Amino acid sequence: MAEGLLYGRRQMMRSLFLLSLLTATVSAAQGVKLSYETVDVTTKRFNANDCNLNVTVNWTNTALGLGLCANTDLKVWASELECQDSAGTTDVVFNTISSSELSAGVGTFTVAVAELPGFKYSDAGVQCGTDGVERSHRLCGAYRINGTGIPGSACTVSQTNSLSLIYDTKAPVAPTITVDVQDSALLVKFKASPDTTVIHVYTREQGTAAFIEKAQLATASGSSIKVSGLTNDTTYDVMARSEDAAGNFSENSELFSATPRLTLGFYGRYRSAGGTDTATGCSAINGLPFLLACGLWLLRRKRNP
Amino acid sequence: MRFFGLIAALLASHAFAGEVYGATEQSFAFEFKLGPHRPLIDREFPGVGDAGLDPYYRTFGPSFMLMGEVEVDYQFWRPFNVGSLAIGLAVGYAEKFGAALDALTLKPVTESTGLRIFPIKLLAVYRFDFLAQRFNIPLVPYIKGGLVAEPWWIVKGNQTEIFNGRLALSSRWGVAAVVGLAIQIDFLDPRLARDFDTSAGVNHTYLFAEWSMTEVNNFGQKDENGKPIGLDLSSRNVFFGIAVEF
Repeated sequence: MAEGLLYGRRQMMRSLFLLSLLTATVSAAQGVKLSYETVDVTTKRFNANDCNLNVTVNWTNTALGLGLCANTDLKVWASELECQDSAGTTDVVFNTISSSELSAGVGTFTVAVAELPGFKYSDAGVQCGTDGVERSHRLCGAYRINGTGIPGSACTVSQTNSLSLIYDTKAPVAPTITVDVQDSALLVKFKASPDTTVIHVYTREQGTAAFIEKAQLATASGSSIKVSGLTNDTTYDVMARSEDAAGNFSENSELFSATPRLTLGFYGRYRSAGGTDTATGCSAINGLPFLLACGLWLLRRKRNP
Repeated sequence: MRFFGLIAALLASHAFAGEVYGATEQSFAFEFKLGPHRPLIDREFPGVGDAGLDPYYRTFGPSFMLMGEVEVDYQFWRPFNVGSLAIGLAVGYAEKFGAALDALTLKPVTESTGLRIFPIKLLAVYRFDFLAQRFNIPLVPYIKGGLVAEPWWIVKGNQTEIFNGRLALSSRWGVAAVVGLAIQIDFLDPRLARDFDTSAGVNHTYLFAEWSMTEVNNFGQKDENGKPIGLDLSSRNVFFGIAVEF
């Protein structure tokens, strides 16, 4: 009898443990999330031209009716330090989203770049618009949540994920380039600094004044750019500039001069060696349906002897 | 020697096993094969290797293309029940890339150039499967012969090459002859082979090797001086592959 009671109690304890583990997992997966345009974008860089920018931030409450404590609100602030449970004295509070707004599930608010604490409380006298500076900010949020999800348990403060806002007016280092000659084209190979996101290539006919941007490439996509549409036997000056994620441009790279020239592919080489194939184009392929027609004819022949 | 002994033992054991299967009708064969391939483009040019004008060797070097080919045969007749006669359609693809040349200095540049070929063959196929069917000796020799149409195109950089106003794209015609030997591997697991037949309709499975000879030069077309006209895409090569009959 006593053993039976003991067994029953053990079973009940095990069930409660599993239930609390399950609810804790559920509540941990739910909460309030911050993001920029999409959930994947958690960092924004801006430069001196963006001082009047208002950055839009999305919030999503996935703890609707479960987990969030009654009358909680979401406080959002920016800090130059790591996010804490509440805003510090040198942080700038941007928004308080009420519990009734949170119950809508999703919403947005804006952050004025010029109001970020790096400019407001900076002891270095940095103003938005100052060149050659990089200042990182964290956009933080906090709300109160029922930690276990079990009715009656205590409410605790929970932080949202943090977003990065980086003021960056440091220009990237100029890329180094080499240029290979091709047929009506130049192949520009480049080495860029790690903060470079896009390489811009400019050319001009030697003797003319203005460079024209002829091509650009995201550095994640490769390490060379083909500049096409050039004229063979004309000498071009070529240079490149790096652009970082904040839109800062480097100084010009070293200048190269190169002359696109006629090249021979295999066909050119074959013809130059005395080969006689005149490459009749698609007209020679028109006979192929003949082969297929023969195959079909034989198939039908067996079915209808 | 030990390997050949093992093969002989396997064949002998299979020959006397007396397994009879083939539950479903057999009308088709499907082959997938791979093999080294080098068209004989250079044979019309004087000189050999670095001393010659041979454009293929000097562009692509001595290494081979890898040719992949699939073939579907329709087995429409079993003459005297000693083999199957089929009509087959095979399509393959191979490409080879090398460096283009500066037209003035003839030195390689960073631009690439490539030859792409797409042989299409209409074949008559005879498989002598009498030994396999009658005596359970799992060796099936076969021969094939037929017509070849071989579209080709040449790229320079990332587009089809144009030289002297000609787009490097065309097709060549020719003939093909193939001899091969297939090993019917059903004997490795007769029960699985039987299940494969009854459930999927696959009668037999083979591994094979074949030697292929093609003359793809528009049937030997020549100019008034006896010089071949056009790109010679003839070849001699070996294929290895897997086949099923169903």
